[in-house]
Amino acid sequence: MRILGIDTSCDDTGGAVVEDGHKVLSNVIASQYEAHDRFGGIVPVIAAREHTAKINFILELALEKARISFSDLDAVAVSHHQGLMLSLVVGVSAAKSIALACGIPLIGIHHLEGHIYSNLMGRSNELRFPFLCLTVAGGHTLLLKVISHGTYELLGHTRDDAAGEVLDKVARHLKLGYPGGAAIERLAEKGNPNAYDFPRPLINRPDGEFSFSGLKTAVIAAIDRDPDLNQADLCASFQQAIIDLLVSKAMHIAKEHQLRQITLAGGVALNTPLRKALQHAAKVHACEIFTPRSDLCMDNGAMVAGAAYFLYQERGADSLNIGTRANAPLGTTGVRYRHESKYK
Amino acid sequence: MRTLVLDTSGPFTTVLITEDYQLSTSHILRDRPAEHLHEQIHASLENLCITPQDLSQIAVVIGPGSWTGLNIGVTAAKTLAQILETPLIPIYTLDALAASCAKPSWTLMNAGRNQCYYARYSTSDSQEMAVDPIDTVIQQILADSNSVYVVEYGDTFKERFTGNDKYLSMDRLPPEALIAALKTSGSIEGADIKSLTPAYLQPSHVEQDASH
Ligand SMILES: Nc1ncnc2c1ncn2[C@@H]1O[C@H](COP(=O)(O)OP(=O)(O)O)[C@@H](O)[C@H]1O
Ligand SMILES: [Fe+2]
Repeated sequence: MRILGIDTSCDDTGGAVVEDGHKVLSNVIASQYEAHDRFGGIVPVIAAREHTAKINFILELALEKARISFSDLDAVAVSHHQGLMLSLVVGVSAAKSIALACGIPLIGIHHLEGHIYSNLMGRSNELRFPFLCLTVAGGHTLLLKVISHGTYELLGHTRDDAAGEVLDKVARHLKLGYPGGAAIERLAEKGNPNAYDFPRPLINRPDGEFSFSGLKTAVIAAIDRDPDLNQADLCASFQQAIIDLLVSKAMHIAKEHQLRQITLAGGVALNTPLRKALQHAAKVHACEIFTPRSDLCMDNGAMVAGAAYFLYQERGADSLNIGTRANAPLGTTGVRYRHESKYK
Repeated sequence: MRTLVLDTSGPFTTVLITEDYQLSTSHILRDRPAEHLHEQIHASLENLCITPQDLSQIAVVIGPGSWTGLNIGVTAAKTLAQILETPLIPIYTLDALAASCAKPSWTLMNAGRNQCYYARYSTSDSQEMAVDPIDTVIQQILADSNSVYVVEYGDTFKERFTGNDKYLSMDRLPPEALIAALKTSGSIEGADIKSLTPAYLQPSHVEQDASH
């Protein structure tokens, strides 16, 4: 089954073709970073305009790279829940036109389900329900128990900023460019993670609650305080604080809920020191860590097509009048989580 | 020749199908229009017992108008034309307004922030569409001969034209006006379809603020 996946939930226009939920035939993304850069954050109206300008190029490129045409598609999937309303509607409009013109099923996906399912793609045999998923992105940081296809339980989330958002804000403050987390990772390689003693909010609380805004404030204050700042040391110490928070909370929740398989998802899952730290902690607790293929971590269309493959078998197709929601409950149990917006 | 015509530029959404410029079916959606656009296209096709493949061209109102409405409509139309490999015909809101009455005429609509979109239509073709401060535009219109029609999309400026029996206010683009505009609008084909963007006519408010 060949599914075209579309994601226009935020500031990237993603289109991809995935076969049977596993084989990524193409996965193309148009970034809008430059269009928003001078505004210091993502501007929804501009994001929507950029999606409208680029979506049809992305669709064509996704098919071209997969060496197929519209008539070879078996279904079309799109993120319709979670993200910027003005952006979501563009991808949804394109997806509905595809479903209509090609006469194929339309599958609406919660953007977060895309992130979660990026772990199952190519590995659905190794992962067994229930497992833990730590999603760490620019817009969310949360711990979910994945009970079965489309059924989740919220085990923890951030009270304030998302980890990726904090990485991006600090990177912006240091004028390091985007993605902030990647820039910080690069600088941190040559730095000393113990140079600064940054706070690790809530780390000793025995639950899955995260908080990153105090850490962000402390790091920005340290930058502003010191004109001869050693950026490498600062980045290494900052990154370490984030890693410590993520790893300790994930391990705590995994133990408490007796989940032996831990998956990592979202853009921050690209971070190599985080992956290593999780692997290390997992050994101690006899857990197994799964990380998505690197091209499936940041927002992309392939994860949407991947999730759609599995969820279509459970839920079937959607009708042509599906709507969009900026903040939608997740899955069959309607998991609600606080979503602190990184958007202006 | 069968044409699907979509208008998502205003508070209502219109879906028309025409055959050789004769109306075959028309539907106006009132609440949450954009959400139901495709469902309506599907229903309109079914009414006529035809499939998307029976459409020979797609037309869409590209603006100016509602930012989000235009993004949805233009994306829907581009994608249909891309898949069905049909020509795509962009229709300007102001041209459709002008098509609903005799020329010479002025057409205008509120652009927010004390600005308005407008164009003057002489007996044949239109002058360039523009966006300028409301007062400047209205003065210009009032200074023009009063035998000229003034068509507004919406009714924000109604009071400024009290007593002028050639002032018309329209809350949507009627089917006849869309069809008339369709006849005079040029079409886009092949690779150019993908690059069609709505005629926003001005930067977003955020960009306007940033440049001040
Ligand atoms: N190597 C990396 N290390 C840490 N964070 C990273 C890395 N690469 C990207 N990121 C972060 O990933 C985030 C984007 O992920 P994404 O899943 O696209 O976010 P969202 O879904 O919220 O838009 C950004 O905050 C970015 O800084
Ligand atoms: Fe995301």
